[in-house]
Amino acid sequence: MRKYPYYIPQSKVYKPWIPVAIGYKKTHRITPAPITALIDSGSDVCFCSKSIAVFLQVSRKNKERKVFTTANRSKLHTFLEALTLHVGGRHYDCSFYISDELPHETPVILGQLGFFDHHRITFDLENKEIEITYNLDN
Amino acid sequence: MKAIDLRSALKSYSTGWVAINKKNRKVVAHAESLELLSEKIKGLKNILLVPASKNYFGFITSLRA
Repeated sequence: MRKYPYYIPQSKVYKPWIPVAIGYKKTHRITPAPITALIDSGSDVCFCSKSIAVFLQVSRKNKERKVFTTANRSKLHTFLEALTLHVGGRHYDCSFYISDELPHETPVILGQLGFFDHHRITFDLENKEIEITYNLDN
Repeated sequence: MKAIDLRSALKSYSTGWVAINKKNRKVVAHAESLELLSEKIKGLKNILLVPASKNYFGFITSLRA
């Protein structure tokens, strides 16, 4: 079990971010330092911005495409690729939907499939911390 | 636990990426792309990368296929 603090990027805004690194086996590239990722229980899957995918040299050729609908009903066009998620001292293969239409301030979104199915997460905004336990069964 | 306050570090940046020293919360580099930023932070330790934005509030996800 690990505890992570909330982040304050601007006044009165508290974000459940955690630092993660993302790698790509095919190119042996990994993000140059940990990046803030949003833990988002409202997302069905994990998302990654195209800017990170470009750095990792992920090609969109022949990848499965999928269109998501956001809360305001706009469309989010993505393609799917397996990346390596490095989090909490561990790493595992994680499917990410990659898009250049993600908001810039959330380049990585950790959702139900890929993150919540691997961890037990407790949000404690009152104490400004998130408790994350890696689920060994997954 | 104390929240990590990045207000001071982020206030001068609105685009691109910011590299922040995790210990003293000071910006060590900024660049528009991860590629450029990675060159600037080569060899540095204890760094956290944060996307720079004018506004981090008012964000709703709930994305469904």
